[in-house]
Amino acid sequence: MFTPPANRIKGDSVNFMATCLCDAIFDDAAISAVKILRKFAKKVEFPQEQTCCGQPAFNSGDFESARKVIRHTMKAFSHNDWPIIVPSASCAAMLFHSSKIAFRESPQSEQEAVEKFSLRVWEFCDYLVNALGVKEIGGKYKAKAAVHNSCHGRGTRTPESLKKLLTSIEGLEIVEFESQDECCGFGGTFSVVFPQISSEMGEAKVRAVAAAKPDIVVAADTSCLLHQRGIAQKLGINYPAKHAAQVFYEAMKNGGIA
Amino acid sequence: MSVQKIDEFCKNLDPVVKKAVRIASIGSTVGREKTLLEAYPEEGKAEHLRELANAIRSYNWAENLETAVKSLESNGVKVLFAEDADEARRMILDIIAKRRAKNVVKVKSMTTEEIELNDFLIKNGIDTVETDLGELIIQIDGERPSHIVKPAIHRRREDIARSFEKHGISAYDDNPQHITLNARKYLRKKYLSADVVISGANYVLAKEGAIVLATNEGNSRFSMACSKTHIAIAGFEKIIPSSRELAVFLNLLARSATGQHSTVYTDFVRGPGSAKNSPQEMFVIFLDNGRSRILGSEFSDILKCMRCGACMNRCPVFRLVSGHAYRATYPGPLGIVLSPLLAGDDNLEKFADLPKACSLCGACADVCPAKIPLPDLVLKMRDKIKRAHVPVPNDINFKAWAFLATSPKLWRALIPLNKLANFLPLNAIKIGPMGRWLKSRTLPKLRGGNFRKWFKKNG
Repeated sequence: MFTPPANRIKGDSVNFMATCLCDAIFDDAAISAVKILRKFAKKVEFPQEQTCCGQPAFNSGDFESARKVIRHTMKAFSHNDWPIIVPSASCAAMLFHSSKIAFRESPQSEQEAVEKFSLRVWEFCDYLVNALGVKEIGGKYKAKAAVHNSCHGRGTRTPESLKKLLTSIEGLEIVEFESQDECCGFGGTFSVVFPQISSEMGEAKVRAVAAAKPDIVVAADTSCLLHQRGIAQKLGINYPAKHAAQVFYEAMKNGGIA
Repeated sequence: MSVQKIDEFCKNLDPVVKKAVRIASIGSTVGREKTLLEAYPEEGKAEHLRELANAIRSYNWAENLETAVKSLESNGVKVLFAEDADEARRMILDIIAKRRAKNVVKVKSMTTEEIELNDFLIKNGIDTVETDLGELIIQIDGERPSHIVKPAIHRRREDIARSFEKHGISAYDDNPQHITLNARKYLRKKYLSADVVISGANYVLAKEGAIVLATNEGNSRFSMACSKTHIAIAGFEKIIPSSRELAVFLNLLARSATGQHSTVYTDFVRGPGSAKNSPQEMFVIFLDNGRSRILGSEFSDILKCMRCGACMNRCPVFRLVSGHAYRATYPGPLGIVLSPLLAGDDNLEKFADLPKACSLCGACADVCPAKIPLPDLVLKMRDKIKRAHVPVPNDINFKAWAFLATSPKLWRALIPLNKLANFLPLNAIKIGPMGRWLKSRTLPKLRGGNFRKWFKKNG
């Protein structure tokens, strides 16, 4: 599921897609991601016209609104044909997989454009390891880290890439916790439409993670972390959530290689 | 307040039941992984098998059906076709009535649940008894299955023992082994007086003209021992080309369902009298009940389902709410796609909320033995319901958002303003979508536009 096309474009000049969540809340995650990309890629551009991937409407079944936003996104990145790197497995999956469902009844030419666009989209960790061939982040970060693999990374090599890069950091130890592969219940609008179920899923996740007593909770998505931290705070549980890019950058800074 | 029925169900569900469902579901998921890995330690082998199962079910349905009918008939089976649940029920009653039969034993079948057969037969004076232990437990209390493989997943042994006492099956005894023995004693008498056995079919082999029943309790064989007539009812999607392909399915079915390498019994019924003491007469009823409509739609993949329950075992929502929350025969990820389809386009509103009961985590698709792209189907169903203008509780309108997200200048101007909201008592909001969200969560500090500012400076 959420499997990207096999023949994605691997170039080392890239566009960065910040996602609406980083645009509105998690600037620190986006800034770290750009700094890391600048370290490993040749060139990083940030097209100013970008907004959102269209996922909120799509997941709600409002495909018409989703198509409008996806069309806008495709246009916003049309000034070159470089890979588009997204610090979110979920937004990436929207653009390399789900977009094709949104446009499944559209004219052939538009379907082809969507298909072509899907070849350019990568989740951040997946891109570093599987397009650029980054083998290690290096640096230092002394912490026990609980890693939350976001559901939309299932079809990509994001989980293994994230793990590979984290374990390359000196002093970073990954701790296991119960039901690691279970969804935290965010699901975007799902958390609004099904508040009870979503909260119970979130609480189970947060308690399982906290029981492992991690110093940091790491994920490739800010959305899962937003949800988990929000739940934890309400429960009075300390939840030091960080996007993978932030951990990478801090490790490099600590190691004097940033 | 949530007005979503499944959400409400979750809120009101007995915590003990919730825990039992969760433990049993996780147990089956873990068992599935373990047995598949034991059987196929080579990387990609189990995956390949799942792909095969998907491909086999993509064969020509019409051709399969034609072959199956011919082979079944040449084996002495009477083949009937039922357009819908009502016709299937009447057909079955007619067969029973013509034989002046009074006692029916049932072999667990979700298709008979789908057509709500038991109540109908009992109302018409036919003593109809489920012989699968889980099905018997729920039948005596007038319940419906809460899981397609483990129908009594929501029940605890103490209240099962109480039910057995109440319905005169045995004195109170909550030792699980004794519960089984008491059911066995009770059922033994039913087998001996049975006139007709009604079963489903896990598979129908087109070439061989046989049906395959996978069971764990031997109840199918007992049911057939004294009955003179066997009626098997199956959706036409249960037909596979031949016993050669069956190997693929049998290698996946029990492992995916209960984490067993194989069910304890696998019966091949190849026409009447094909085994010693087996019924002298056999009917196979192929049920449509919306299936041909589904076959011609973009949801046809759902017909590849082999009813193993792996998707619901793995589903984080099912694990919290149990099968009864879904108000239909088929719960979980399978049900939220299939129930609206079976209900038909004229009854979309009946189950319009179901496809929303999914966080789109995709775990179900990872375990489905037929590789059905369940989350994609869930999304297509949401689209279908939206386009039919069927309202869903708590839904959010995205028209304004879409306008904003396609107006980059406006977007850039407004995003930094979200910081102003940090001065508002956001976490005190109690109503609307925000209120629902903030009831059990807090919001982080809003920092709109900071990234863009940074990039401009450092670009």
